[in-house]
Amino acid sequence: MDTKPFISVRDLSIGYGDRVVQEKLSFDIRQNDIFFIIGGSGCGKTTLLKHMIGLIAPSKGEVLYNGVNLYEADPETRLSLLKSWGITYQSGALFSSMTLAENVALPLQIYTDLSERQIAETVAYKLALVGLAGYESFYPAEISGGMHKRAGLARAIALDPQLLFFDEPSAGLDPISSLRLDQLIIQVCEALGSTAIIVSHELPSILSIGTNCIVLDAQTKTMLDSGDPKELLHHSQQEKVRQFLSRAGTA
Amino acid sequence: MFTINSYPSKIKTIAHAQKIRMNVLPFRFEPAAPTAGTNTHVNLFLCGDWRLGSAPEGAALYDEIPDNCTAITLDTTELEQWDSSLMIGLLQLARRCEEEQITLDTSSAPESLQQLLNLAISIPPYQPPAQKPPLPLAERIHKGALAHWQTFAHSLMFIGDISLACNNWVRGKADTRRQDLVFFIDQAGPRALPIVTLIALLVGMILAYLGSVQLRQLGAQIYIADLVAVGMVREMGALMIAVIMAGRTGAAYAAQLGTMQVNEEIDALKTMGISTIEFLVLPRLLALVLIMPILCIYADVVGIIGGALIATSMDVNLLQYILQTQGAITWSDIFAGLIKSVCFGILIAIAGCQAGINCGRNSDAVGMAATNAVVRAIVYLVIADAAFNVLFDHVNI
Repeated sequence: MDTKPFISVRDLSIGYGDRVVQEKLSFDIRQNDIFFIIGGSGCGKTTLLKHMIGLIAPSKGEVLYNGVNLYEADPETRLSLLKSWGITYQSGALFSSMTLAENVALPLQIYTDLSERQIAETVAYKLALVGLAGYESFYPAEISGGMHKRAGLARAIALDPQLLFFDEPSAGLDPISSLRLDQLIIQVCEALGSTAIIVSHELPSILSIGTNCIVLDAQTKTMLDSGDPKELLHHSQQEKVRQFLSRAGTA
Repeated sequence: MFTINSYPSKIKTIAHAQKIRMNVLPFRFEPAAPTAGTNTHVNLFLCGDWRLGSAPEGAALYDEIPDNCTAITLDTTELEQWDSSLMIGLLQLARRCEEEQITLDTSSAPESLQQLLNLAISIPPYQPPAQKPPLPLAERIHKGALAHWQTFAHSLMFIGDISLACNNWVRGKADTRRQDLVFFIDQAGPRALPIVTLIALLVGMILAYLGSVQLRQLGAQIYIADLVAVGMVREMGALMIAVIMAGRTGAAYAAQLGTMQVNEEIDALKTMGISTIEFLVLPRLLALVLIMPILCIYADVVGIIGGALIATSMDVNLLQYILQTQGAITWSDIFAGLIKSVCFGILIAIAGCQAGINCGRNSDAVGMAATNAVVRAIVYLVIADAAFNVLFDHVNI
């Protein structure tokens, strides 16, 4: 595994306006990591993700992608970075006026020169990959919540991204679907050589597929620990972290 | 639409065959055992790079399956870089092989490639239910009429529910919060004053100009005051306020309630045993019923001022204009305008709230609800205004 940091977060402060949610965040993410951002509810996991994907500018610190600061990059570099990412949101964030096929086809139509037929084939494959073959002409309003998430993933992987961001991918899914999604994330990342950054507090997922993580704390407003979640489970210096992760063992 | 099955299955152009011969395409079929005589078992050699944009179309793989083939073994020893484009081709090849009962052996492929392929083919494609034959014309008319009747019945039920909620409110038993009522009065009243002022002033001026064109020819400019006063107080004041409220407040009600429907907030209220009509609809309706007559009087006054601005520029003395206005309008005119404004308020609230409560569960539906609210409210307003004018004429108001 490549040990050179793929993403570097340096002394990052995150929040909304004057309200600081987390501060002094510094960590590295290596290529091909399945990296989890974990912590209790309201500790700022999704907020950190929003800062990393460029939705909210940090009040302090920087996020470097292969040495490029997203917030200081020129528009062309920024766009090429955004094109190399796939992002899935908590609710799927599908465009309700488009069919599933049109949702998945959108990034292909905008960013590639593929023919209509190639786009149709790619869409059919991506939807099949997430178990939605045959649902091409369905609208988001006609499918279940779990299907929303899978369709959102199909759209996120449409361009074979180098970097995949997931915001609570397993939330609201049954255990079988959740397990299948975990497997899918691993297989997609392995096959495409992608790195995954996942916001979650689903401990079974964290311990089964995570290769690296940071643990955020709402009280101290900073990260408690970082490393391989399986290591942290038994050997973290922070008792809070061990307690947080050990619930998985008892659950 | 994006369905791969809709493409012709065997398209072999000369150019395509040439590419195969020239080894331009990154795959080739070769007999597994050249000496066997019949090529029923073939090896599929994948070679070079398979990248989105440069790889051949997915259908190219199965288009080249040799005739009488019964088994295909995948060979990836010459394969270099690959991405989804290879999987797209292999998925279609796998499905074609299944249809034509050809054995596809992928065991020698990289494990990640096999995993992705298995993942894609493990769940069979969704089969949409067979389309029903079109209904006979009579049945379609019957269904259409039934749907309209149901919509009408739902509207009547909604009005009935509001009546019951009003009854509960009068008896002090409704789930209506006072702070909600105050909030909606503030939203519909004081916050609407700038737009009401502008529109009423301009309508008054328009009425004055309209009258002046005819009245000046007769040297009767002074009657501009009568025209503006009666026009604003009896008709335009209430109607213009209602149109503004339909676009501003009625649409807002539909969007608010529609978003609550999307976020399941209305479901939460129902399961808490709280009446959605009393909690959500009643404060909005009462706010409009209370605020519309006040806004109507305000609009009448501003409209008359607008008329005065024009009239005084046409040799009409301001004092004359005021005295003429006083003589022109009667209490019954004011009463007629106020009655209309209250009724218009009720209609706008019903149109907005009904559209919001019956909204679907996605963002499109919220937009549609807001549109429906405005369109319905304006239709209701015009019908009600016409009905009021006929009624007032009959009772000599």
